[in-house]
Amino acid sequence: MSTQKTVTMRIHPLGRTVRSAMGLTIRQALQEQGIYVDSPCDGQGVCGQCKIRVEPAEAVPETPHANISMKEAQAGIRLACQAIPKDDIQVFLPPTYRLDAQQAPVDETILINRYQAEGNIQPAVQVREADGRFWFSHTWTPSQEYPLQDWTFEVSPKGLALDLGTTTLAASLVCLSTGRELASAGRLNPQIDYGHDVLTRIQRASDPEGLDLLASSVQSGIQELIREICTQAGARPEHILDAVIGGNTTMLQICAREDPSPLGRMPFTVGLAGGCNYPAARFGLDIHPQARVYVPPIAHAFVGSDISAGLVAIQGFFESADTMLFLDVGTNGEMGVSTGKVRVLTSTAAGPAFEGSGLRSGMRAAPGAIQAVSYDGNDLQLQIIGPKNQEAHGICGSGLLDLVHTLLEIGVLDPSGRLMTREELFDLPPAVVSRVQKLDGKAALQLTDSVWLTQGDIRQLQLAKGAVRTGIDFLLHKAGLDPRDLQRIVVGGGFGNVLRPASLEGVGMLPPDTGEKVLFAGNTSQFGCVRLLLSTAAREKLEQDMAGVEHIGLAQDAAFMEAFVQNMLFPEPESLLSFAPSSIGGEPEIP
Amino acid sequence: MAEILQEMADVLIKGDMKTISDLTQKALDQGYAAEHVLQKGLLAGMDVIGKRFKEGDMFIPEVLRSAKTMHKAMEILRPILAQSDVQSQGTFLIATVEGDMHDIGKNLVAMMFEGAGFEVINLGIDQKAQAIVDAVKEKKPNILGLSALLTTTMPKMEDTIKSLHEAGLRDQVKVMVGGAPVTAEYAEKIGADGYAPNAASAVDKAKEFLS
Repeated sequence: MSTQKTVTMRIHPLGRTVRSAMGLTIRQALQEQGIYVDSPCDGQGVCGQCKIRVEPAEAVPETPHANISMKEAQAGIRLACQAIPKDDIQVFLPPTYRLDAQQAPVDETILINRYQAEGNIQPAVQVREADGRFWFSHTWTPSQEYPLQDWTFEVSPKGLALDLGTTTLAASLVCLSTGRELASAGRLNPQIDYGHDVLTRIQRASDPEGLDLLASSVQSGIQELIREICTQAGARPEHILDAVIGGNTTMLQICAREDPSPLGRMPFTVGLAGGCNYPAARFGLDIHPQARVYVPPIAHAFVGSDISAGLVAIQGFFESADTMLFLDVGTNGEMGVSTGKVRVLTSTAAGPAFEGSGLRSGMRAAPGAIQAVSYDGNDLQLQIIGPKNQEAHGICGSGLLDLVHTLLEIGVLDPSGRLMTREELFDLPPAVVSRVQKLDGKAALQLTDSVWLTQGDIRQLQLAKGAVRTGIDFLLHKAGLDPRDLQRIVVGGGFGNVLRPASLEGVGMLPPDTGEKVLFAGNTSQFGCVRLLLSTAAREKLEQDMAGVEHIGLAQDAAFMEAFVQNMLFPEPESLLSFAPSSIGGEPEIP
Repeated sequence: MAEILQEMADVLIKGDMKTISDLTQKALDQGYAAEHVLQKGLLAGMDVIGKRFKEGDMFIPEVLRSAKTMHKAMEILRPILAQSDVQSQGTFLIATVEGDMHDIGKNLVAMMFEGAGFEVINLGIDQKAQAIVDAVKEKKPNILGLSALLTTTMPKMEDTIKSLHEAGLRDQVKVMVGGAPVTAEYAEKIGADGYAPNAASAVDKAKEFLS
């Protein structure tokens, strides 16, 4: 038994030594030093996300949790928020840890003059100290140096990765020395007051006054985000020396005060070059005045830098010989196919249904949203975001897909998309049948007292999924691929991990027998921007790669309309009531 | 109603393209006049389709399939009808405006008009104002339908109406506008005569103009 009052921890991979009072959890000790391990439940020991490894394992009592197997526990895996060391230990952090910029000076001072040597990190800026003053330069013009005010060895250069979406804005603050994400934040795009979809914004910004209004609106939203992430990380906006923006072409152009109206009509001329750098002021970014903004390549009026950045994030699209489909679904559906040799991109209007908008009871994936639906053989089971007993306020995109898939399986919806009448459903349990109602004189399904799925909502989904599926079919055809030959399907964008690939396939948004190949990649645009911040080589490679990608336009293709109409139908179910008993009730399986 | 005409209506609603031609021929062979077959078989079926579409009980793929089925039947009826002096409801000219490639909504409207007994001229998509004006001059339709699905191409509807004014044709034709972003207020603002939120009610509106 040790009698010491403090324990000493050697933290890897930081190489720092931390001393803390006996009895504190490892999480508390790390936090005191400005080192954060992801912990969505805020240290309650519930979520099982803050796993770390300790050595020797005996020095820290086990922290039982469903996420830690017996083997892992023996190997020293613990929950940081529950683990209390009894003796000096070594701590190995997960790759997702974060550093507080103000309190993490030790390693950064070592790194500041040698980030070229730091593995894969090759940022586009360099900081140099001469006679106690600090300067920075862009790597492509090393002799042109700009003074840095109030800079010390403790300050690290930072980069901004910005995802400029039609509906949401997301920003990350990244340490350009270590490559760590120091802070991140998201918010609604304030332009939403001026219309929900891209075309409405184009229309609104097609005269100088409207453009000024919308540009100022989004720029103010971005400013707020920059302030927020800087506050989180204890950094200052002028510490940000570089930025990368992933955005759809319209959002980029409006933010840069470039007339977007040609984007909304044939021949869809893009007015802003991608694959190059702009002064920060061009996008109204209040960061270091000499900082540049890198805009990744723009393929088309409807395939912006968010997509090319996204292709950086999903590794293998350009490098691997695997056949792959990339799908980014929002208001606009963008998609790409790689056969390993041929790479093609396209986009198609999906409408707002997948974002829970435009539906009778639609909402974003927020507390109160029905996010998953299953059938237990007697009635529909609804899974609602939020604490237990959370009341349902509406239904979000993943819930909509799940619900419609379930209704197709049990035969409440026929493959044409028509809600069956009560009389036609005589062989189903009364609990389900009684949900079939009339709302404003039209067929609808009642989910809770106030949440409905109307016949019109189903029609909206049919339009949206039909458009996406047709885009996929055309790309596969163009690439000469049979859907069964696809090795991977990477889905980025708003859909959370809750969405069941089986539902994507079940409503016919994906071709048959492809659901099991689906991987959800989250905000690929944002991840890609971070990578591009940290590597000028990755930028050059992306520019070359994108030059070899073909964009196909669908709207001009007469066959598109024909196929689109057919794809509005749902697939014929293989057999009614084919649901597996294992999916009954409770939590949905998370892929 | 005669059994065979009822069957024709049902087959049309189902969109059964294989049987409609045989049935149409059979109805004529049984001695029904072509106009009677059209009115009591096909148009009666289309009336049901229009109502169901408005209610959301039928959707675009099924309605377009019914339209194709109707065309099959009309291949048989049209030559006979052309010889008799059957009165058409009126002539309807429809186009999607310049810069807009959207076909489906316009085609739905076109078929609803056909189904209501109008003679329909479908100019197609991406039609410049001048092309539409020329067609109005040549075909002299009672009603002109302009379609736009994009907020960005909506202003082309206004341009087209202006061009009709300039050509001195505005008073000769009723102009109706439609498409997802179009509203009754917008229709009024650009000087159109009418607006309808969907294909089925467009026909009702048109009939009001002609009554």
